[in-house]
Amino acid sequence: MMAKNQRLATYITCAVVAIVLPLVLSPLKAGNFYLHILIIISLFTMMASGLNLLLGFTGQASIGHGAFYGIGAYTSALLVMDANFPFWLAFLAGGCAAGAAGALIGYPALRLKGISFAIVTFAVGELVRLIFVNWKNLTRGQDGVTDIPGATFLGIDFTAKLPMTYLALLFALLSLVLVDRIVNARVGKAFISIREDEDLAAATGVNVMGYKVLSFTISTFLAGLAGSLYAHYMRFINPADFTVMQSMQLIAMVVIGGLGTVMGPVVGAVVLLFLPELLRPIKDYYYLIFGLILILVMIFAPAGVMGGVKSLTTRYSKERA
Amino acid sequence: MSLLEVKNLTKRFGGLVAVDGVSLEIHEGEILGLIGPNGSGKSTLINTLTGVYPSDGGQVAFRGGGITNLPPHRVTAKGIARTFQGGKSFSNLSLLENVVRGRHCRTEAHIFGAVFGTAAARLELEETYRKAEELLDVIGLREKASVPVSALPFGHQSLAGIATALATEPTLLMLDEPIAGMNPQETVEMMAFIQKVRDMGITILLVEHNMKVIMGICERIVVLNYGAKIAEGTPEAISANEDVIQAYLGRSYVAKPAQG
Repeated sequence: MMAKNQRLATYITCAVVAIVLPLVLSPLKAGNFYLHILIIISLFTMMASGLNLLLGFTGQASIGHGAFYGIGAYTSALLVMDANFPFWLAFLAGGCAAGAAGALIGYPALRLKGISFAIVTFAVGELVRLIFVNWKNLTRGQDGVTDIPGATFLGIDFTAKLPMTYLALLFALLSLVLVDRIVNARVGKAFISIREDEDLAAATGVNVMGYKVLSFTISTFLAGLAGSLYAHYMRFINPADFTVMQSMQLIAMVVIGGLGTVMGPVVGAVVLLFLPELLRPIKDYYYLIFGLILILVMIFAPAGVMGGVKSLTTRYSKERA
Repeated sequence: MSLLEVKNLTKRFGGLVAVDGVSLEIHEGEILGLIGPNGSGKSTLINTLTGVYPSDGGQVAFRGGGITNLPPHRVTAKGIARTFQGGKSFSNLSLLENVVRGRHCRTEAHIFGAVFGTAAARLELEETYRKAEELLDVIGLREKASVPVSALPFGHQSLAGIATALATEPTLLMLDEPIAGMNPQETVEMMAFIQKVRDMGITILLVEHNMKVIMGICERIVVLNYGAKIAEGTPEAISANEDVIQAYLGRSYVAKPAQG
């Protein structure tokens, strides 16, 4: 979506911020808390990026992504604890399990359009949560999984806050780069065609169903990877971490940040994860304000924050969609 | 040489028979007109031929191979492209980006190439843009490349749709009312343009209500009424055909000889 130089500049800026920010925050009095927020923002950026690929670029609304976050988390944690998998393999397996679930569910579900598809994803989200709760032999049910080993890789122990922050930031950046590459390539253009007009897309040779499933699978894969990092960071997961609340937060991040923009998910994640902190004095009204903001954005600024930035900085330049 | 052979094609929507056992042939290199009153099944026929609707009977063969009920993206890959009524395009995207979309079926870079930025994928994308820009020259709108199609005048939107279809490298191009809403000047330009496309080696099926255009550039015409074919022949024969006059043309119309 941007000229080559602009893209390179953005990549570099993000990399610099990602390297410098933790070092700046870490020695502060509330350093650990800030790093924790940074980690959570990174995880949600990963998931929101994936969801943006599905919703912002392919035009399909999923309100059940919390489920895939959970599938990644449980798969990774249980493989490490019950099957002695090394972290990196469990991490990948978490992503693949979520991706495979996405493909399996997407194949039938994506035959539905618009709101019908959204409702099915909501139902799937709830179904998966119920499986987490009820398959006690596997998932430890409501009690959740405790004492999950931290992430270790190549001898580096990521249990400490600072290394974990860098790990999370790395994957957040990789997710953004992944989405950026996809949307500027033939595959991404096919996604955008589907969002704009499915019949016309099919007439240009796009296998609409196939590409919808691909988009869904990539988005659930990213959610699964984020889930694995969450599990080995918090070292405790339970079904309440993967509910419709997380799904809705993700949707809000994607919309507020800017549908169909690469950086939107980051902005959305930052806004929505800092908001509870700013609103701490009135935290009883948090969900009310949260909902109100979402409604106002949809009515008055549907392009979100990054959408507004884009239209301010671009005219009929050599922009590619 | 018969490029497209349609045998007894039928399409029903519940109790309504929208296409009623239509048989026709399109010969290579011709401009075939498809006319009939509103609701006679012209667009439905195109949609059924191109796989947008599943058929309820009959066969379609293209260059000798059966294509009945193939999904639209496969039909396009085989070499049949179509435009949509109302100058439909990816209206929020720029003109260039629209035409680029048409290249999808003639390119193959997939997710691996996208993620890892392979040379093959990059080169293919560059060529895609180059070919799209060439097509903008064919329609004479290169300077409007970055304009969103929704901001273009209607005549140019129609051209945008045709350019996108041409980007799929079709052998057969079906145009669904490309001239609706154009003024006389634009109409004359579009007639010349359609003939230019045919001279590029593309066979054309033209659905239109504008009789000046149909009689002016079509070598043969098929007439539908209530989903059934009621006549087929040269412009002279059709404009003298009683059934056609009754159903559609009225008495005041006189055919002009087809232009060279």
